[in-house]
Amino acid sequence: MTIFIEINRNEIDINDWNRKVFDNGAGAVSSFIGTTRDHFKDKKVLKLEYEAYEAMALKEIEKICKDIQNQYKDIIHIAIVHRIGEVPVGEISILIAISSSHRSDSLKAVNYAIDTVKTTVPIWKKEYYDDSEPNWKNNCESCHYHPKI
Amino acid sequence: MSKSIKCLLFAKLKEIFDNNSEITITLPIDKCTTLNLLNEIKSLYPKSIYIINISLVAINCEYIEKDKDVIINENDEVAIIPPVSGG
Repeated sequence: MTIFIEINRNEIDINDWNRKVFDNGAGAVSSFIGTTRDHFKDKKVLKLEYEAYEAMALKEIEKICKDIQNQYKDIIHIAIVHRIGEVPVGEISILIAISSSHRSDSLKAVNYAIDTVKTTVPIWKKEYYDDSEPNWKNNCESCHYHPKI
Repeated sequence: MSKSIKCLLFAKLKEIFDNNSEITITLPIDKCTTLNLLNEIKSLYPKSIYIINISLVAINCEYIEKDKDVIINENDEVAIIPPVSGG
């Protein structure tokens, strides 16, 4: 099993990141791609800007990967990359790719991974609009609102 | 005797402190704990109260449970983590 984790300012290459988890023993590669949406309610969004507490964010993502290894026995490889800095509308902020021998575990693990990234990983986004002041967002999933860390 | 504690700041909290990525807070040496630290920041900088109240403390990159009072040791890396919004 190999785990690939990165946080950086580069554009995320879909092919490159999905390919990292390919394996001859895998019958499935499941992935999630998060992109910048062009609107928030009735506001037009111009871009997002991400900031990370990088050392801790990497550590929290590693924990997620270990949890996946423990919870889902069929997992082969895991790749998680988060882009920070400016992410324009339509571009990718996060990609999670997980391979498994059969599809069920990698599909479930991808869902668990993105939900948990949004809950515990110290990364923040600021949303910029065309006609109002930018706003730091809070994920409703954030562990800050749910007592158990 | 007192001790200076460096605190890393992020996102909205960093903005409140004019985009400084850290502040230094001085606490009496027998009161170097996470709750005293948060209270001291709130009393020195009332503009930070609302965000501190919804933030968690991390020591050496590990979250401290909300409202738990943990001793801060020499060389600990202390960070205040506002609600996260990654993904």
